Amino acid sequence: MAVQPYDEAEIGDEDKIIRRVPVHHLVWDENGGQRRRRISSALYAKSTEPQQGMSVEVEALMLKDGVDPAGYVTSDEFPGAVAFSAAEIRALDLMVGYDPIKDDPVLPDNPYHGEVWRKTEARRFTGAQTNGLRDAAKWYVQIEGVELK
Amino acid sequence: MGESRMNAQPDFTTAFQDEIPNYRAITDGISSLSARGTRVRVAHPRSAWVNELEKQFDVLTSLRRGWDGYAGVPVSFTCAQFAANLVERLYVRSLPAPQLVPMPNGTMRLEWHMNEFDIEVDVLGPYDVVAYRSDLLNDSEDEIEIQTDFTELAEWVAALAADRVQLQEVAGG
Repeated sequence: MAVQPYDEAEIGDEDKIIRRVPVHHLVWDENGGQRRRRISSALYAKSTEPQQGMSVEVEALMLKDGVDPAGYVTSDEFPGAVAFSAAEIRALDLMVGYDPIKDDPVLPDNPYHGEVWRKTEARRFTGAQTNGLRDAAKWYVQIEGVELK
Repeated sequence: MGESRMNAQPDFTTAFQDEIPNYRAITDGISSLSARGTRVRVAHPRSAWVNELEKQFDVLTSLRRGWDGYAGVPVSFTCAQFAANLVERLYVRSLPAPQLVPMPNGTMRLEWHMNEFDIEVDVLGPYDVVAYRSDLLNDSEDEIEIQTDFTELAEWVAALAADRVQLQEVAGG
């Protein structure tokens, strides 16, 4: 059963919240007179189910377990990752909490998994929230030749 | 026109479409405007865009669960089929095909980033579309929710082909 949206008090404002970057979320952008590869804003979308959010990992949980976060969140399919601080997420009127994945028939267990949720039920983040996440994102594991935005 | 007759219309076929029971392609125009008083119905729609994107549609509908590193599911056949028909109807010969971007929940997005416009079209399902346009020259943003009338979106796409940078330079001296 899905976790109900909430804001986790244990997650400090300075904690890093990581979002994996799959290859399918890289696009070409020809604006500005130069063809370049960048991350699609689709990366910062929530699921359209009203109570579902945007999947992330909580860095502090991995560090506490002695797990290398950069290695944990990347693979050939999702070669990069971006991160925001919890404070940057909360400043967008969003919540961040734990939502560990365990015993899923398909997905591997992920005790570090969390979600970023809206405070009210809606199909999408607002434009300001999506743009805010995009603007706040910094490379955690950079993909060579790809720009953040 | 009866449902059975519409189903019998031979429209373009791709692998992602084959799985859809009772598939019916969009044969109506996407616009509320009539061009020279007629509505074009194309029995065998097959633009260069759809030809180019066919394999990509197949890839997106064949993604494994967890493709995004989380719980992402493949693009649904229904969503892909509607998107393919929308792409067909938005086709402008002088423009490149949109980029196809899967969303984790089985929906998908069409994106163009050119001519100082960002256009992103979220296809959430059949006749359930949200489109965004950012005009980088005029620093303006628009968002439209579309169920049946795709006129404004078609105009956005057509505007991508305009030589607006040069026009602006001429206007500005």
